[in-house]
Amino acid sequence: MSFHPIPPFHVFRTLAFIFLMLAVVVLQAIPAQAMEPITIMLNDDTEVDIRDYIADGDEMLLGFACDEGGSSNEEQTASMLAEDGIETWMPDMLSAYMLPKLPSSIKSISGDDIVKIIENARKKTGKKVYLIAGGDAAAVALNGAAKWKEKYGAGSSSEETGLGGIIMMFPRLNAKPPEPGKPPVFIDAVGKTDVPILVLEGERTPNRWGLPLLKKKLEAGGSRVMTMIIPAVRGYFYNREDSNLAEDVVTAQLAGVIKASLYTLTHYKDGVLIP
Amino acid sequence: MKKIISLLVALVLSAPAFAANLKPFDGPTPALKVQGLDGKTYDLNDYKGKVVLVQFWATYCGPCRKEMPSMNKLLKSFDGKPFDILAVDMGENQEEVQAFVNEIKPEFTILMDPEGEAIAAWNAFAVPANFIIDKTGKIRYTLFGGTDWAAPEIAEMITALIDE
Repeated sequence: MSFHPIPPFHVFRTLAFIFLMLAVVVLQAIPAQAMEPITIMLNDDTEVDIRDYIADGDEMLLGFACDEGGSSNEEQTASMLAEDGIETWMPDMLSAYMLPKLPSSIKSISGDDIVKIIENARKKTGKKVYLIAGGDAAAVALNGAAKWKEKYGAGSSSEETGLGGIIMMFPRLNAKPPEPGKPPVFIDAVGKTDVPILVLEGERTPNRWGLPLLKKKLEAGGSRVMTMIIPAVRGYFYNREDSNLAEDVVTAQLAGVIKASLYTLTHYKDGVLIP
Repeated sequence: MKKIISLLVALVLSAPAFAANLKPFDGPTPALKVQGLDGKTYDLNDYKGKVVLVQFWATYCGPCRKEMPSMNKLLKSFDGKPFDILAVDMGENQEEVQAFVNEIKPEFTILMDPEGEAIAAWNAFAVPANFIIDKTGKIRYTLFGGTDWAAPEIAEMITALIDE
């Protein structure tokens, strides 16, 4: 499934400018949603602070930022999602372990910790939990889902267990640097979960060409996997200092992209969109 | 003692490759038959007898933009010798590739792979992904990422392959 065909670039630029202007107007009209800081214990001596963007809906997102967990774009997106009835928890995993605020640090977070946070989210809200992460942090979400399956067994996305699926944006799941001429080697957690997975990838990244292989590897665990390509953007598009117009537009519309992704994840089965 | 000598010999022989982060490659060489930016069809098979740098690149790739002038220098330094460069764009359209070419002015052949078929066949899932092909048409070295193609160790490696 993809958003293709792509219009000519000049047409896209014109549309992008119009959308950006609309997005600016809409963003100014949206009131900031309530954010409640909460703290949960991961183990005897480690606690993690979580920003809870409260909402009334039945589904919630558990988001892992790929940098220091404090991106203003991600906070704004969480606030907009809450406005639409989707609660988001954003745990500050790096501070919990006093790790340097670098993208690579997030990879050292264990899947067991993610299981504890999901369990806490379930206990506190009673909602079905969807993991969401981008870049290197996608590995954290996937590790958590793999550990979840280890603990709760096959069918771990059932209503009883309450882990609904994973949204991965431009996931970087390579176990080692890529070698031209050789297929990518993925981290162990790939193919170790059976929850539904949606992968969003930028059109302007070489990783988009590896999507068919990644999809196949993820499906090996029993997951229903969907992939979508976002036209005209690069990876990490919402955290780029050199972002272009198309990336600014998609970033401004990120809440809508995530909401559409969540809908697809929950309603798209066996190649059919179920109303 | 024999083992130590063998190890030292191996290290000396592989030194130029490691110096440029080139990795020796031992695997199949896929076919490469695609259209060029100029509309002509190019086939890697037609380059047998030449050492060829096959690069997969994209206009959005910063290192690609930076290193292309050094690829021009490399090509010029082998003028009249059996060496060539084929640079395969990764799935972009004619308009944006032409704009890039007008700005950066690569003096080598630009190939197009709009559906990503060559990208998949060559397992080129990083950019730039580089392959050094020997005169028999076999991949001998690979390199992920940008580099200074005008560096002496690269010229030495290409010369060694030409002299084989």
